[in-house]
Amino acid sequence: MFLAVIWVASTLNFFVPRLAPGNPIEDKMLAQVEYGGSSVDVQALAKAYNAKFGLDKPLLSQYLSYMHDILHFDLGYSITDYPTRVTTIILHALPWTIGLLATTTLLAFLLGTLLGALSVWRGAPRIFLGCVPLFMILSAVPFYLFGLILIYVFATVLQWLPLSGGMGIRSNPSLSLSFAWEVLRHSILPAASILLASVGIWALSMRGMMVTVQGEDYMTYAEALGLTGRRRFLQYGLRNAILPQITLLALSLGHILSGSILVELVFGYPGVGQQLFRAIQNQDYFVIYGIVLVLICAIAIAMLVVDLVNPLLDPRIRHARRAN
Amino acid sequence: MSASAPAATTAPALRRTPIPRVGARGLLRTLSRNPSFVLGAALIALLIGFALVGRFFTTYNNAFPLSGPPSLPPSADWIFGTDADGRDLFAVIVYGSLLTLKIGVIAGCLGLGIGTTLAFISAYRGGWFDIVLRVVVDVLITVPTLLVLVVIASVIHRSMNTTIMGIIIALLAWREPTRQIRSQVLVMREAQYVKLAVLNGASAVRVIFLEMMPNLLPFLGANLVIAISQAVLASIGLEALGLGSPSEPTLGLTIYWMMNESAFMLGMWWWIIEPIAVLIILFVGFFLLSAGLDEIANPRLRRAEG
Amino acid sequence: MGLHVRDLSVTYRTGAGPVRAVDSVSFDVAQGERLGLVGESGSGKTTAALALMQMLQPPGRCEGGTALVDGTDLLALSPPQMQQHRLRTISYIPQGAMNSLNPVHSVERQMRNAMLDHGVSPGRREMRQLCITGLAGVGLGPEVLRRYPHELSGGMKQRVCIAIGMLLGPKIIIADEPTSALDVVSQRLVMETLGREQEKSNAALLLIGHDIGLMAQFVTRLAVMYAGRLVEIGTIRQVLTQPRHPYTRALIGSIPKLRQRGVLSGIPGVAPSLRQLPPGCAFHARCTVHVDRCLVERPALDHDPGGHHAACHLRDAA
Repeated sequence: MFLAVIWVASTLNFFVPRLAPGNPIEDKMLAQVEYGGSSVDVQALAKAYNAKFGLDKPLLSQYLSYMHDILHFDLGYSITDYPTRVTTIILHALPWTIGLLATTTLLAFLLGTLLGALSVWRGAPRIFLGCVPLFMILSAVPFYLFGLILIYVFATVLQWLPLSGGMGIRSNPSLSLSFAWEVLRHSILPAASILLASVGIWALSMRGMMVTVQGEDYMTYAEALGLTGRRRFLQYGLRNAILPQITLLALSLGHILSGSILVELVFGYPGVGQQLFRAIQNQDYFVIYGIVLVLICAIAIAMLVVDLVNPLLDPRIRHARRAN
Repeated sequence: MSASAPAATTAPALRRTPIPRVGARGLLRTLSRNPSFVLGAALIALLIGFALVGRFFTTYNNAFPLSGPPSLPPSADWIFGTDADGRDLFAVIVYGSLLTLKIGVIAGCLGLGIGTTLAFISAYRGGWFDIVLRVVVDVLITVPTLLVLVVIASVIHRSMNTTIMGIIIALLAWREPTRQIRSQVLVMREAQYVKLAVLNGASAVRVIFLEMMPNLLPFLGANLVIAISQAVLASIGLEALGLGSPSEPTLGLTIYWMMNESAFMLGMWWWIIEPIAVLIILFVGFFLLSAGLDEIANPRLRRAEG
Repeated sequence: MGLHVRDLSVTYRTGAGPVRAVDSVSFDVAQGERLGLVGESGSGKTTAALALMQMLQPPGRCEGGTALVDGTDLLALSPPQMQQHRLRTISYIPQGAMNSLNPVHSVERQMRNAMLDHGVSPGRREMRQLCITGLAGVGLGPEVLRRYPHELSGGMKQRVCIAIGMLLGPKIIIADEPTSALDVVSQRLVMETLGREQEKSNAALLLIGHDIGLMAQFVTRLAVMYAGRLVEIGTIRQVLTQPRHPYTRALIGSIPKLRQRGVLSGIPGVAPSLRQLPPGCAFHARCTVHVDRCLVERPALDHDPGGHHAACHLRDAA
């Protein structure tokens, strides 16, 4: 499954530009050559490109060389930043993206799930129930719209937090505390927009799961056994409702990633999204394709991880897999 | 053989479809108990109404640069102000909303149409078609929409317009509806009334359109609304990245210009708030509408009476 | 000693008006005795049981009555108090244990949870021993401790529920159709297990069901419910051989006998909707021997010196 996705993604990357009218990649490279800069180098790039993917080569061999490169993690060179390799660009930007994304998604998932479960539980204080309309509104709005609102309120009007970027303009990356503080200050708003928008989604879906679980026989029986409310909520309710929720997490990763790319755009956050935007602006096709491929792989890996977590939580799946 | 307390001796008459035929009054009553639906529909209607009426107060050309003095805050002459390039923001919002909705509707309807067709063929006929389709959909669903759209759009950027964008988005929009409708049809196929119809010799077409479809309508409605909403989301994302139609003043493009022309630094709050407000109304409206339709389609979710 | 229920009433407030699911039901179950409660679907028997456990869901509400066990009124307890009494004083064996056990917990864990939440925590090893003993009582070996519910058969799951139900030595056991979802062989096994455990602990057992044949083999006394009301109660022999209420008579008459040939007879008509109960006797519309009085005046349970009570104006009409 994992492999299928990666294969589909890379094949897509290969075929789409070739299906376009004209030949955008070559056009771009020619334009780049004329544009000036290190024209000699770009000619070298164009030459290398033609050697592998020249129009005179049969499609199949082009495809095979392409796949060969991919498997060796060679994503080519950036057209506008030649001779920087695409992989270098991505690796510089990736830690920012993953840091932001991983922490906020995890936090939003845990918080949203808990709040959602509490909002349906009969023994919980009523205030949780009142959060539901809030969740609905929050979940409907895309991340970056939130980002824009937050920027406006906190950066422009109140001027509490910085407008954009991942770190101060004058600071240099280092392992010092002050740098860490800079990073944190710059991450608060982007993190908040992803967090606020996602919490609603997780809360609402958890509500649905909890409602189903509450109707199950084992909940009634647990009450009949005189088990405490806390145990029934945590070990019987939450524990069972979270199984499909985790599957939902795996399926939503693509959506969350897309959203966070746009958030990075809005905040000028130096992650992969920002690089993608630059590449689009500059028509740097190799970078675009490289980033898209890497992101799809990341999602596939994450889904694989979630797939491995499922049997740990659900003995029924564990035994079914063992039986196979 | 154990003895049980006897049940009633008259069997209930077999019904053709499980949804009782409700008259207009019954329908209104169901809808009025459904605040999500009403609110959502109201918001969307408000938006569409605003855009349609607003067209009489301005012209399409005003949505382009140099229609007026640049960077003007809202005033009597320019109700929504102008942006840094001199576009009349009122015209931009009016026409942008219409264009954005147009993309959403094209993509949503196409996507749902393709999805429904595939789902029905797959679930009803089964066989190898079903197996292949299921695998294809599962793989494709993991690929995030925006990324694929970026790849496609970056290549055909120069010839992009709203209709083409709608079609491209439709190419990806069919995935989720196919999966959802397929599982619904699979369940319905086993229902008594369907089996009865088949036993009575009804043709496949008859079964699909006369027996299954009526019961699916609220579900299809909810899926359509969601598809449109997702399509709008995707289109705005693309446009904000700069990959949208360069010649049409869509809402996403407005956001793109707003971000790239330092609206924040220059404190042009009207430029920031207007497109965002419209989009929020749009998304929240669609969300509530689909939640409402979901409630109708799935009676278990309906609020308990009394 | 024993369970004494007086005038138990449960009402559901629906959009179409209040519905009396259980209407002034009274009965006693002595310690060590087995009382069967039969009735058709919708007669209110399960609702009555849930009311005793204070487990009614809104829009259902217990609207009156007392349920005394050793001087304590179960219906008057506060929720935390009731939580403690459940399993300790009164325990519940569910209908169709197919889905009653938590799918993600092992059997041992579920038994331990039950003990822990009632303040019984002698230490891990002792608790395990208690679990093993409990399982042995229902004929299951210690290897079941490690199992998950989906690995057990229906009969085994039901017996686990019985084991859990007996863990804290309750005075009252309510078994709600414990064998409806089982095959005949498992039914017998489960009923024997239940009977054995009940005798050992001398608990009062309330067995709810609709299978009169099963009742005949198992209980000492039988109560019959119809439309939320108790219409007849007596020893099993009394009720089965000399039924005093027309409904009971019709029920017994509809049981096919092994050597009898002929048309199966049911009871004509349908049970009345609880929302629109007729005034007077609830059964009169389907009763073959009713008189004018039955349409207006609701019959009450009489006080028969032999302990065999019936709620009918024509009690002894053949």
